[in-house]
Amino acid sequence: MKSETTVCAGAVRRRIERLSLIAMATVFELVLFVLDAAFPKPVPWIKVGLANIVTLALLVCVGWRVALAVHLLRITIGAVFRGGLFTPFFLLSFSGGLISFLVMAPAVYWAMPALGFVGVSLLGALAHNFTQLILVSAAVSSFGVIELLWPVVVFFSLLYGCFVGFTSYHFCRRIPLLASGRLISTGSVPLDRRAV
Amino acid sequence: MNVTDRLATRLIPLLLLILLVVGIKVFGTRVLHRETVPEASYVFDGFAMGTVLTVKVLTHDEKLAEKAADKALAEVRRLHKMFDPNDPESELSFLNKAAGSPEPLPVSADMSRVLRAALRIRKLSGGVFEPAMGKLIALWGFNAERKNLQVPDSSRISAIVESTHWGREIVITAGGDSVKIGEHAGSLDMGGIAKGYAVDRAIAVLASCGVRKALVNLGGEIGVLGVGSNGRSWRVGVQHPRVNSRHIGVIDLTEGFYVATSGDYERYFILGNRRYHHILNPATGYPAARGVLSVTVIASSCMEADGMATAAFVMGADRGIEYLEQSGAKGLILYAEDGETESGNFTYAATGSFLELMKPDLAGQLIP
Amino acid sequence: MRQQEFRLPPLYTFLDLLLLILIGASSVGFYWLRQSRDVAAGASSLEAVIKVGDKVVSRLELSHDTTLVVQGALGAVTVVVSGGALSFKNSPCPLKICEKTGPISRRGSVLVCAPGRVLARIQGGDLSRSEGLDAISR
Repeated sequence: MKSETTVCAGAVRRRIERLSLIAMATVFELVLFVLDAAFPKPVPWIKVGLANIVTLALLVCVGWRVALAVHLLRITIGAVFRGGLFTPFFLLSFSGGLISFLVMAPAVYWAMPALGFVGVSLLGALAHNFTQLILVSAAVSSFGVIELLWPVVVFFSLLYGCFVGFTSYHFCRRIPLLASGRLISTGSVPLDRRAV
Repeated sequence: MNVTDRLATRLIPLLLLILLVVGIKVFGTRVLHRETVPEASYVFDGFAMGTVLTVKVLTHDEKLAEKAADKALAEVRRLHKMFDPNDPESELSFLNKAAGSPEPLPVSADMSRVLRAALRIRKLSGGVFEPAMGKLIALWGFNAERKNLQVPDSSRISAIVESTHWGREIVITAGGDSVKIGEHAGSLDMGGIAKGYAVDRAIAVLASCGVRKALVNLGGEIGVLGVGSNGRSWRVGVQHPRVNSRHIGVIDLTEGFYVATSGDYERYFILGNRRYHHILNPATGYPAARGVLSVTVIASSCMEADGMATAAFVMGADRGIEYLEQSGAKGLILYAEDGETESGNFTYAATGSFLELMKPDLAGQLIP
Repeated sequence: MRQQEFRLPPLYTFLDLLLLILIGASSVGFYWLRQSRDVAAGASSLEAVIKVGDKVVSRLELSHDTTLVVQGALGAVTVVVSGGALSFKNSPCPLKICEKTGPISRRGSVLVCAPGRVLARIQGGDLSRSEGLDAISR
């Protein structure tokens, strides 16, 4: 009797923990997202991507399911904030975000101790910005835009990627909950895949 | 959790999400397109009516421009088929063959419009503009693509001039859908007005395709929609009649105004120091010889501008300007005061309204 | 306990640096190459598009002197590019308006043999230069 209730309690507790983790992380990302937009930028539509600090941290310290949930929630709710839920900007944001996640998640799982925080973040930034560039040129049916703009995209992706990776690393280091690895159980990720 | 719960909590939100993304994709790309593409200038060329049709479109939407330009080219080619005197299957040839028939001949709406305009200009110009000089034009050889043009025999010229009653014998019936052509009316050839009509039609086709800013240039006859890349007007230069690389001034053309120029410097040949050009005087059967080098007319339709320019050319400078003023058009006539068109010296006469638009610079400026 | 030791991955590794430098350097390299090629081409990047009927038959760089024989509707027309200007010679058309019109060299200029259905239009070049005239009435 006693062991059964303990097991049930453990599973329920983990679900509650997970839900509140997702909620808090989403709020964090949203705040960063809004802050991000307020920064003056040399190139208008290439965002610094501050929210990815949290996404990356979650990918490394928790698990990809939680990270994905937070990431998508942030993009959607963020779009609602910017009044753009049914606009082309949302499509751009969403596609960029999705592709960058699809690049970063495998990188964290397979490339990770060989690759550091900065490396993964760079790849994510490049993926995100290039996806947006390609979509924009497809929409205007003029792929010549790519030819003109890709160096700018590369430069800023590298720059911002470094910054986000750097910040994410220190964020993970300083927050004991993340650094301890305790949260990994809530991400429901096979342990042998973790960076040990 | 049983199957239905799992379905409800996972599948349905997923489907909704997919629907959302697809919906945004479909709606969003069109708006994104317009918001991010700057307006660009697209130029299309095509051969039509024995010359080149150039359509310049300012738009965000390249595909639209291409489609509209293709339609405009098709329309001009359609009109060419109708008005081509060298094509035995054209409506024009049919009318020529059936001339002299006691019954009125049916005409298409386009032919009727052009004929009516031609006859109107004929009346207002005092018979100087004739739509039925086909035989004369063929005799001189400017229309057929013949080499080694020569001055035709004077007896043959006078034979035609004397036996033809010209436009007197062309009468359009009240309904406008048929025309009676007398036996001695001459052979229809609307070269002096057909290109102008084609420009009017091309502009109409572009407008109906949704194009808002465009310029149509058919062999020097020009019509516009909206404004050009300077945001205010389209910049149209007037060709210097003797130096190919120069223009004598620039007209700021806006929608609703059309420009046509008749000149002696494109279709001509020189024999024994004399220039024989393609603008014939129906009274003499010879190229108009009142010393005019070129006439540029701005009017509210290209068809009229074209016809009036041809008429004014034959009339000479003084009568020509008077005629253009009376017709309410803006005109410029470049002519040699002493009648010597080959000396290289010439001057100009213009309607007041034309001078307000442009001051001619006879030395000319290099075409940029 | 099911939990093992969890160590945070490093901030950056040798691979990271390699990636950064590789991507950065190669894009700078390509960009620089493209720039210098464009600058060299610069004023002489004008090209002439030659069309017969509705079909583009050739593109010629105005910076290279060339002679090209084009089959028009009436026969062969010789297209000559010399000293940055293009002209037609030996055209089989009766009125030879195209030969008389003389060499063209500016962006947007068009040279036409209407009966022969041959058209040459100049395009390309320095985009920042203003267009000037939209058309000439002749």
